[in-house]
Amino acid sequence: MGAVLGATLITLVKEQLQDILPKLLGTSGNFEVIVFGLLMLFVLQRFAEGLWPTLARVSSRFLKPEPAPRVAAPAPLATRSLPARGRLLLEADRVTKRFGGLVANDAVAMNLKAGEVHALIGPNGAGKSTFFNMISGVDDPSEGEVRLLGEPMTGKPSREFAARGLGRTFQHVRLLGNRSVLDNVALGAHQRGHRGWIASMLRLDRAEEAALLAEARRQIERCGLGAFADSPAASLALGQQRVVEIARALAGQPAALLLDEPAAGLRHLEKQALAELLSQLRAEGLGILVVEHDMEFVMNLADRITVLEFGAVIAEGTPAEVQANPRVLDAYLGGSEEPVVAEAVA
Amino acid sequence: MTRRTLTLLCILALALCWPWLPDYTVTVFSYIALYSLVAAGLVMLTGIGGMTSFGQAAFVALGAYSTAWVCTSPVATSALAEVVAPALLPWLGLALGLLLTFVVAWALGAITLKLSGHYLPLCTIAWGLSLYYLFGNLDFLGGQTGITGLPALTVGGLSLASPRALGPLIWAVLLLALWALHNLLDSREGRAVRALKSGRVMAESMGVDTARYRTKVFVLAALLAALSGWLYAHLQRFVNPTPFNINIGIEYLFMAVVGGSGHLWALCWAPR
Repeated sequence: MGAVLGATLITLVKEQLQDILPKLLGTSGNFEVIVFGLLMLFVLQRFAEGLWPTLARVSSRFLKPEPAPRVAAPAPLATRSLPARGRLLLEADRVTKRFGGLVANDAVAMNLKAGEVHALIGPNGAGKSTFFNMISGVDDPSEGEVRLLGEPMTGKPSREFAARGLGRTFQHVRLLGNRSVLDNVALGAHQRGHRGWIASMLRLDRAEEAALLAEARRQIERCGLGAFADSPAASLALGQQRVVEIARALAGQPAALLLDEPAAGLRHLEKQALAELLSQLRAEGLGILVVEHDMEFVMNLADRITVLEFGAVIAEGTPAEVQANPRVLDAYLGGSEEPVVAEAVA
Repeated sequence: MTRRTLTLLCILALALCWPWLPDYTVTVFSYIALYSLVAAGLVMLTGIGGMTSFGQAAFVALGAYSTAWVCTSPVATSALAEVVAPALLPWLGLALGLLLTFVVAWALGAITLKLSGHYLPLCTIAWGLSLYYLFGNLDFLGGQTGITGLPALTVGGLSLASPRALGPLIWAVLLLALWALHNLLDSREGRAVRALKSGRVMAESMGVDTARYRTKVFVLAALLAALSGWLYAHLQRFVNPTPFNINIGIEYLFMAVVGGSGHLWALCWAPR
């Protein structure tokens, strides 16, 4: 009703001002515009969100909350058949990215198979974020090619990546803070529904909507946040918000899951729960790529590790191989950079 | 009492006392509903979609001038006289207004919605101004003096000439529009629209075609403005460029912001 409230107030105040001001000032003129401007300043200063939220807060003292809406019987959702274990999901083929003279990624090659956890590590400024952007469709490589399930993805927007089965999370959490966790996670299932604007306006989409919300709730529960499904996303701790992002990615039923520092900000027990969840997803046949700083987390979870330094791959292999690799030891211990601090934007 | 029942009670109270309200109040209430229709579109566009527009008054003008031209210009009336009854002309005007607005808004949106930051609001001021001057300078639209003698709407033989008769129709249109917008926000498509505000990268990664959704919200807001313009034209029975200038465009935005630009309707505020 914010729109109606605003229109009412402005119309009435304007009418009144046009009557009162000329009498008060003794001359006629469009003085109401000035007073109007001042009033507007006051309102925007005091009620930056508009008057409606204030009114709603006051009225919520004597109004009962809405009863839960009747839920329609859910319609079946589109499901994706996951690729067979071991199939190549994501390939980066000698991917190079230049920003002017700076080579952020130099012929980086790596791949992700269904049913494995592949970790991408490297010191600050190694080019991990740049690489992550290119394999998620945010940016295009200067040279080389990214293939998703065998399909070259150069020039395609990230929604095409999502459509082909890639789910991702963000290093800096991107949730709609004042919407519920359920709503945020349901956004991840966007492409699994197809009812349009007209159908939504006329409420013909209820069966599909019920299915999307049921799917979102299932993913939230699977990620262990069932108790928070109806809370605003911003009310959760940062670590939990990262898990909400994973649930949101899972709601899209991805074949490949890209996680950008999922363990940052998590407490020890939460990290264990996350590792368990990821192991379970791996067992279900998902391919998971993790960019992470927490070495303990990575070494215990990953099947394969790729190490980046100065934009190039310096080692690749199992956790044991990588830990024994002299170049990796040199990069992490010999260099001046701290491996465990938060990553700067590469 | 829940929010929903309170809202329904308010509507019922307005409906019951409508016949006994003074003429002046009836007119003011009709205008409030007309403005609300535009402001509701702006709430969708600005508050929820994150795009600021100062130019909505131009779309109101498109709606108003379309019907004025269809109903009064000798060219249109003589061409249509054999095909449709005169009572149906305003409805043709509505169709033309919505169609024109759809085309213009889609074209403008496709060009300008790519702009970010301050450039988009500035651009809306620019086309808001240019459409205003266009209407003031086209001779077949009456120039600055405007078009007089618009017919009243008739619904099922009932003439809606006075604000007291037309007001209920305006309010019905407003309430229907609010209901539809509320439903839209409470759906998969609504979630995608809300996601626009938090930046393109996230929404795109969730599979939302952000450019397309931005254009669609923009067109939706423009269509609501055109609808308001059509009702306005048949309430005033007279159209000139003054009520569509950029001041009014700014005022529409104020309405949306003062009311609470993220809040269309009581029911959609309550977290699910």
